[in-house]
Amino acid sequence: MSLSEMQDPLYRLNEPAVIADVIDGEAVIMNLERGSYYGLDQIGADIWQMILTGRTFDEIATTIAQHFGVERERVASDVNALAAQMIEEKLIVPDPAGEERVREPHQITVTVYATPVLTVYSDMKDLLALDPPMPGLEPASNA
Amino acid sequence: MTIADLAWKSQVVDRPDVRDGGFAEMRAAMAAAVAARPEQVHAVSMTFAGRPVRLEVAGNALAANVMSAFAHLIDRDAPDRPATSSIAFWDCTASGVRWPNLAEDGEWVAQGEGWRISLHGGGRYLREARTNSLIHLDRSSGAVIAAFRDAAQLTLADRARPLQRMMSQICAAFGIQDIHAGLVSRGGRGVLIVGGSGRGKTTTTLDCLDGGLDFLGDDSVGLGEPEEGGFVGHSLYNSARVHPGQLRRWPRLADHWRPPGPGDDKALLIPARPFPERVVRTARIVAILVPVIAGGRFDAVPTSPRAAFTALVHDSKDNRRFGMSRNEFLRLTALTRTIPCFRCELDLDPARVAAGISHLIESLAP
Repeated sequence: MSLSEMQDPLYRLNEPAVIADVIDGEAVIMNLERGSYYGLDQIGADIWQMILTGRTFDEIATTIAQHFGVERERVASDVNALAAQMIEEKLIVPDPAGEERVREPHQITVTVYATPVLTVYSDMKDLLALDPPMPGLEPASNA
Repeated sequence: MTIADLAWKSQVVDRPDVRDGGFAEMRAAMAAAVAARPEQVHAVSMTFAGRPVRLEVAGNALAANVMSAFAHLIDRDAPDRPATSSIAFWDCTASGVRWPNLAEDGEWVAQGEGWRISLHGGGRYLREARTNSLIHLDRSSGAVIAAFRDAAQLTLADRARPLQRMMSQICAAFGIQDIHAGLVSRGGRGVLIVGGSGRGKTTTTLDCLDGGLDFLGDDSVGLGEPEEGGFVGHSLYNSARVHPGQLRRWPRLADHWRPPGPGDDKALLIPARPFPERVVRTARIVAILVPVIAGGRFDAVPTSPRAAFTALVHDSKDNRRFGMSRNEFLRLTALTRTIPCFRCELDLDPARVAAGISHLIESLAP
């Protein structure tokens, strides 16, 4: 899927199935329903945070290319591939109401550009699939 | 304990009419087992996750097996201390009391070969049925009632970690989080040893025990957040399990291993037997260490919180847990964000591992 084929310009975190946090510039993500765990390197975490703060993939590619002085086509290809992987893994979903979100500023933390990497830890998947999250532990699921 | 954790408790406790999935029948069967063979009943007070708990075991052989795993938590000076919760076990063979024949129902069910877990009573009661055991947990109080078909059938894994999979939910009821990690300490300051199966957690923790540090667990410990801030590790089990080929690494422990029997792949050590003073209940966590089996010289170097988090969330086949909840995920990210994270190569000399971790503890600000 290319950027132009992604009809939905804005995406959001696939809550409540997915939870994520950024630790020391890197992101850790977990799909609580699938039992899948993911790690994002620093540039990937920057892209992740820009997606979640209401930027289109196109905007993100432009911002990063300008920030690092890197060829936009290359960055767009990287962002496209990463976003497609995030969508495929159901980490993010289209956000039709995304235009109404407040776009908080994001400061890029990496000093050198490298192709972002989403690491999928699938070795736990079978184990966690056997042991799904216990219902009733979260206020939302008790409501 | 967080407000979110309290939310589900208040909801389920306020529903006295809910079905308990057989918890009351289990309680009655436990009482019958106690009455059947009172001379084989062993009752003690212990401190679990900082709370007073009554531990009662009906059956001499069962008591000999499971109580050793909790021996370091038993308060021998205060046997009749009022308890806020209870853990009760009975041996069906020794007592002649079978567990109740309960319907295979449940509001939520997870099952696999030889095991079935179900939720009852609006989320309050959790039941785990296995071929040779039936365990019930009241999640609102942390009370546990467990029946074992025959103590003679317990594997070393059962003896090392009674209640295994249910332990994560028992810990949750006590406001702590069962995590897949080893924990050692010196002077009350602990180092979490994290990593997937076969990555050196047990080797590192036993190197430290052998080298004079305190032991809290080799594979499973309780993570708590005290009101004063930071993180505390709670010892859950006085046990360690190692593949027989590794035992020669610790000559001083040679006489204390229980060799694996049928159905076991690892030998069992009860650390309090050789070193009773070195098995402690709690420690404040000051570092997280990710060992790497490389045979180099021990040297703890900083690593990224994400690397430590990744090592921490890997599970093991012999210690399966329930999938992580949102609060548990956030607790672990907070842990790795605030506690210094290191990686190290495992040294061929266990004394250098113990010395290196002692030095690491001393080097970190109090």
